Amino acid sequence: MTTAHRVVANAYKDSVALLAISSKLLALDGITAASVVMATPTNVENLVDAGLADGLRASPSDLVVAVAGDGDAACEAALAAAGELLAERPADDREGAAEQPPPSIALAAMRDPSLNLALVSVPGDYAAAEALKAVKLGMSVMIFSDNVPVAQELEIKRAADERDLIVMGPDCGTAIVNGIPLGFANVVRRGPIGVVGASGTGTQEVTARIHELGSGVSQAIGTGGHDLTEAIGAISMLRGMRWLEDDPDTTVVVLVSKPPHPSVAARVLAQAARMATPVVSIFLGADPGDAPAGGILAAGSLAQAADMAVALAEGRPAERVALDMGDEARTRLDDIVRGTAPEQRFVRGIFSGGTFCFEAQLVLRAGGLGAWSNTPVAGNSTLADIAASEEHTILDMGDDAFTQGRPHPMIDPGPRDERLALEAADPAVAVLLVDVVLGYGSTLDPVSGLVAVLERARSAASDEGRRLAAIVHVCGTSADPQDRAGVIARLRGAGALVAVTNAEAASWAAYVATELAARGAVA
Amino acid sequence: MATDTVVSRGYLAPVDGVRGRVRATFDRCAYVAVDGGPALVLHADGRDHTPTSLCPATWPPASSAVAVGDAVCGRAGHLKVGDLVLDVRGARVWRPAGSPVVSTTTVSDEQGIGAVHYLALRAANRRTGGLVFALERALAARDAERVTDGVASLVGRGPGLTPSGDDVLVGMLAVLHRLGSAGGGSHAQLLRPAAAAHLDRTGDISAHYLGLAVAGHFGERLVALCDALSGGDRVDVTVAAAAVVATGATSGTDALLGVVSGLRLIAATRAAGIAA
Amino acid sequence: MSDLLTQELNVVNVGLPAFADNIRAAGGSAVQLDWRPPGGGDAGAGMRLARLLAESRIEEANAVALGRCLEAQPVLVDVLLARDAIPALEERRILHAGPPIAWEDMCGPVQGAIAGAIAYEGWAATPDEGAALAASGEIALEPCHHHGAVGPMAGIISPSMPLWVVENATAGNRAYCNFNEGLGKVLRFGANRSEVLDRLSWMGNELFDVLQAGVRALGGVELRPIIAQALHMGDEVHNRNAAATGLLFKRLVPALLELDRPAAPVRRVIEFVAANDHFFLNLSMAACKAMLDAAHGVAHSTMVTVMARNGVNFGIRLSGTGDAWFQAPANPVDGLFFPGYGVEDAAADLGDSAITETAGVGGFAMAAAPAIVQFVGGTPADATENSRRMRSITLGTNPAFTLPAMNFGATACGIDARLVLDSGILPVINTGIAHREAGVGQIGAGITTAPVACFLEAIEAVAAQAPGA
Repeated sequence: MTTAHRVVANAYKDSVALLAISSKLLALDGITAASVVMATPTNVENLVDAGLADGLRASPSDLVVAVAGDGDAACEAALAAAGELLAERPADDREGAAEQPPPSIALAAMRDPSLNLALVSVPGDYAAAEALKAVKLGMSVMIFSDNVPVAQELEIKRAADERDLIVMGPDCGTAIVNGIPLGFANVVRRGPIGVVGASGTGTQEVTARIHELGSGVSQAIGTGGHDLTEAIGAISMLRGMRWLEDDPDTTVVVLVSKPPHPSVAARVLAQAARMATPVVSIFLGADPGDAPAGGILAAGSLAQAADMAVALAEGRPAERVALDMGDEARTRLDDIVRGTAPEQRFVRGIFSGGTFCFEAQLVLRAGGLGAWSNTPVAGNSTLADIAASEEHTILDMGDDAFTQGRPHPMIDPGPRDERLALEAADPAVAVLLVDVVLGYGSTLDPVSGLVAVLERARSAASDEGRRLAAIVHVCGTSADPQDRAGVIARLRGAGALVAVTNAEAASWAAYVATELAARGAVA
Repeated sequence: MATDTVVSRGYLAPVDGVRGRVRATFDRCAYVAVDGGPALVLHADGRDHTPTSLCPATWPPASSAVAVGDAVCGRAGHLKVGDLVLDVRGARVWRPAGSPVVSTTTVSDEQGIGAVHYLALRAANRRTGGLVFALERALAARDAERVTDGVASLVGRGPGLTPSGDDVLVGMLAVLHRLGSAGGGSHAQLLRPAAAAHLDRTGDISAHYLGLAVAGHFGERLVALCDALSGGDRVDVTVAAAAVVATGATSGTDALLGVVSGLRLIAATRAAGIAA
Repeated sequence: MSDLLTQELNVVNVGLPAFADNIRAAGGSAVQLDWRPPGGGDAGAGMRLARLLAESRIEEANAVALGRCLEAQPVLVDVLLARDAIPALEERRILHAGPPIAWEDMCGPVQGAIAGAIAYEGWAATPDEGAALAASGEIALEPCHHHGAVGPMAGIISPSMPLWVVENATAGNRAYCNFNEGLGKVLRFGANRSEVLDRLSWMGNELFDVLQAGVRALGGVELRPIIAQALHMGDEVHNRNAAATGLLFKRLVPALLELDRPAAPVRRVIEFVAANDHFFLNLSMAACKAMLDAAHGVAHSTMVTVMARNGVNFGIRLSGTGDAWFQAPANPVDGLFFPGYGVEDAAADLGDSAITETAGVGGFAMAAAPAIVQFVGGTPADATENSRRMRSITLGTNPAFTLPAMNFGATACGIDARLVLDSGILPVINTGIAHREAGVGQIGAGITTAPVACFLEAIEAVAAQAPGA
C-alpha cells in the first residue's frame, strides 16, 4: 500500500465541504483511504495514527490531503483530483458579486451595523474567540460548535452578561429567535410559549409538539449543553428566563435540560419563583415529584412539558397526565408480540438525537428495563464495544464516538440505517426503536434509506418466522420542509409503528419488551 | 448600502451601541432620536458643530438614502442611518477649548453687541413678548419662584423649530455657564433647574438643545462668542456675534438676546461687588 | 428588556453555509462570512486578539493616532548634510534601511552599500577595506528609522550625504531622507566602485549646495498637494513617481534659475533631476515618514507606523508599543523579472520605501497606477480591487489622497494590526526587486505583502500590555 499527501498552505474550507471532498476521493479507483482536513494538532495526530502522515509538515492554517492506495499512480491521481475539487468556488461567488463576502465579524459589522446575532459553527478551538468578538461588538451569539474549553465559555458568557446580551451555547444546536429558525430547528408557528433549552433535540421535541397541539412559540432560546453545570452557573438560562418574563408576547415559559447541578438548580428555581410568568420544567432524569412546590411546574417527559405549557397558555390547569397507550396501539403491539419467535427478546434503540436516546433510556428504566448504551443514564451500563450491541441497547449515533470524520446522522442517516439493518438481522432482537428528526438542518430525505431497511427487515424476519416491532418517532411539524405526512405514510407503509412523541415511542418499546420477558418467564 | 466617512463630530456624539430613528430631515441637517440619549444631528462639516453633531464627507446624501422613520444603529465605529453607513472612526472631534472660562476682565457692557444688533435684538424681544426682561429681573433679585414662572413663560414660546424663548434661554445659560463664576454662579443655579423642569413644554428637538444647555453643553458658535467675550477683543467679539446671528432664521438673534441679558446680569453682580 | 427580541434579526453566519441558507429560506436575513482561522491558525493567539478588538481604550487611542497622521502637513523646508541634521551622525555611524541587523547577517546589496559609504566618508581607502572596517564592529550600524529618517533599497545614510528635511507643520516633527542617485550602478543597490563614489561626491557638494539654496529660497514646499495631484496623474509615489517628479521640477527650476550661482552647476543639477523619473520617491518617503512619526507614541494604539525591510527581515512598529520592532522573514515578491533574471537571482524585499504604503499611498493607491499589476498578470480592475481591499484593514481613509479610479474615493490610511490578523488580509506593497549580489541593480518588479508573523508578534506584545494579561 502506498501513501501520499499534499499540503495546501493558508487555505480554509469548512468541515462539511472537506468531508464531501474526502468521500469523492475515496470513490476513486485504487484508493483505500482518504482524508482532507485542516492540519490542527488533533487532526495531525489522527493522520499519524492512520499511517497517512509520513513526512508531513503543516501548520494549523494549512489544509492537508492525505491518501492511501494501490500504488503511486492512484495516489497521484487522487491528489490531483483533490486539487481541482479544492479550487472550485461556489457558483454564485464571482457572478455579479458586487462585494466579496466579508472575512470577519468586525468587517461584516462595519459594512452593516444592524447585524445583531452571530451564529458560530467553526471548529471548537476557534469558536470562543469569534463569539467574544461578536459580544464585544454588541451582538448576541449562538454557538453551534462544541469542544469549547469551559474557561472560555465562562469568559464569553460573563462578557455577554455585562452587556445585556446572551450567548446561546457552546454546543447549542437549536434556537428559534423572532420566528427565525437557527441551526437545527423546526418550522413552528408564533405563539405565547417561550422555551429556554439546554438540549437541541429536546427543544425540537417540545416546540414541534407545541405546534402540533395548535399553539405556538414566541422564542426558543438555547443555552448550550454546559450552561447548567456548576462552573457556568446557568448564566444563559437565567438571562433567557428574564428576557421571556419581560417579553409581552410570552405567557408561559418552558425550561428543557438534564438535571442541573444542585446549586445551579437552586438558582434557577429561585428565579422561577420570582417570575410572574408560570414556568414549566423538564429536567430529564429528575423525579417530578421531587420538585419543590411553587416556582416551577415539573413535567415527566419532553412531550408532557409541551402539553402542560399549552394547557397553561390556553387558561387550563397544567396536569401531569400519565401516558395512556390507547387501545389501537395496544392491539397492534399485542399482535406483534404474538408473532414473535421465542428467542426474540431485546430492544435496540438507534437514535440520532442525544436527548431522545437519554429520554428513551429513562422511560425503559421506569418500566423496569435496564440497557447498555454509549451514553448511559445513571444505572445503565456502558457498552464495551459500541459496534456490538448487547441485550437491550440504546445508542446515540450523534455522539462523537460515531461521528469522527462523518456528518451527524441528522444530516446523513446512512450509518444509522446500516446499524439498524445489523440489529434487525439479529434473531434475539424484537424491537427496533428509531427517531427521525425533521426541520431545517436535517436532510431533506430522512427516510428513503430507513424505509428500505425496514422493508427488507420485515421480509427477512417473515421468512425466518420472526416478527419485529419497528417503532419510529417522527419529531417535526406539518410546516417543516420534509413533508411530515408523507414521511409518516412511507414509514407506515414499511410496517413501522409511528409515534408522535419520543416518550410514547419508548413506552411502546418498553411494553413489548416487558410482555416478551413475562412470556419468557412463564415459559 | 452606501458608505461614507464622517469628517468631524461633536464631542458628545455617541456611536457604538446607539439605537434610534431618523426624527426629522431638513435642507441642511437631519435629526436622529436616540434611545436613552441626546439626539444626533447630521450636517455638513463647517464651523457650526453642536455637541452631538456628525458631519459626513458628503452631505446632504443621495435623496432617498435617509428618510424620516429610518432605523439607526451603531456598531464597530460605524453608524447605519437608513441606507447609509457612516464610518466615524477617523472623525475629527470638535470640543470647546478648555473648561468654561471664568472671566477676570470686567464684563461691563455687552461690548457693543447691543449697539450693533439693536434692531435685531428689539425684534427678538418682541418675539418673546418682553418676557426676557422680566426673567432677568427675577434672576437679579434671586427670586426662585419668579424665575420659575419666567422660565415657564419662555419655554416653547414663539416661532421656529427651536422656539424663540428656548433660544434665549440657551444664550443666557451659555454666558452664565462660561463667563460667570465657576459652575455658572447663583444665576445659573436658579436658571438650570427651572429650565430642566419645563423641557416638556417645548418640542423634542428644541428640548434636546435646551437639555444640553442645562447640562453645560453648547454649540460651536456660542462657545466661540463666549470665548471672544472673555478675551475682550472687540473685533473677535464682533465676528463671533455676527456668526451667532447668522445661525438659523431667528434662532441666532434670539440666542444673542439671551447672551446680552446674561452679560447684564454678570455686570450688575460684579458692580455690586458680589461674586457672580 | 432584551434588544435582540425586539429587533429584526440580522444574522452573521460564521461557519457552515447551510445555516445561512436556511435562515434566508425561512425568510430571515443572514450574511455569510468567508472565514478562516485568524492569526495564522493559532487558537490561543486568536483568543488574545479577540480580547483586544472593540476595546474602547484601543479604539480611542487609534482615533488619536489616525487623527495626528491625517492632520500632518509635511513641508519640504531645507536640505542639510546628514551630520547637521541628525546629531548621532556626528560620530562614526551609518544608517541603513529596515529593522536592526548585524553586519554578518546583512544581504549583499546592503553590505556593498555600507562599504561604499565608508569609503565615501574617507574612513577607509577602498570599499573592500570599508567592508572589513564594518565587519570589525568599529562603525555603528543602525536603522534610519531610529533617527527619524528613511532610505530606499539599501537606504544608506552617512554623515556627508545631503538629506531632504521635511517638517510636519502641524506638530513640528521632522523627517529626513537621502537623495535618489538615479538608475544604473548606484549605492542603493550595493554598487560601490569609483563611478558611484564620484557621483556621491558630486551630490554631497554641488547638488547639495544648489538644492539647499533653492529649497531655502522657495520658503517651504507643501508635499501633500504634490502627492495628491500626482495620484491623479498616474503615480502611486512608490514605484511610479514620474508625475510627482515633474511637478516638483516645475517648482524647483524657476527657483534654481534665480539663484546667485554660476550657470554650469545649476544646469548640471537641473539635468540630474530631469533624468530621474524616481527623483521624487525620496521626498514621498520623507513626507510619509513625517506623517507617521506624528502618529507614533500614542499609548494603546495598534496603528502601524513603520513597515520596513533590510533585505533579510521585514519589520513593523506600532504606535503604542514604542521602539519595539516586530520582525519576520520577508515574503516573496510576486512579479516579473527583466530578461535574463529569475527568482533565484533575487534579493529579499529591501528598503524603507514601504513607508509609503504605511501612510496609504504606494501599493495602497495602486488604483492610481494600474500599470503595476501587469507585473503580476493582473488587470486595472485588480489594481482598484487591491486599493479597495486595503480599507478593510485600516482605521480610516485619508481625504487628502483620492483616487479617480475609485470615484475619487480616498485611500485607505492607518493600518490596524488587529484588523490584519482578524481578517487575514495582508498589507500590499508595490516593490522593485534587487539582485542578491551587491551592485548589479534592479532585476524586476512586482507586488508583495507584509508577513503575518510581524503582526502576530506585535499583537502578542499589545496583549501582554493589557492589565491582568
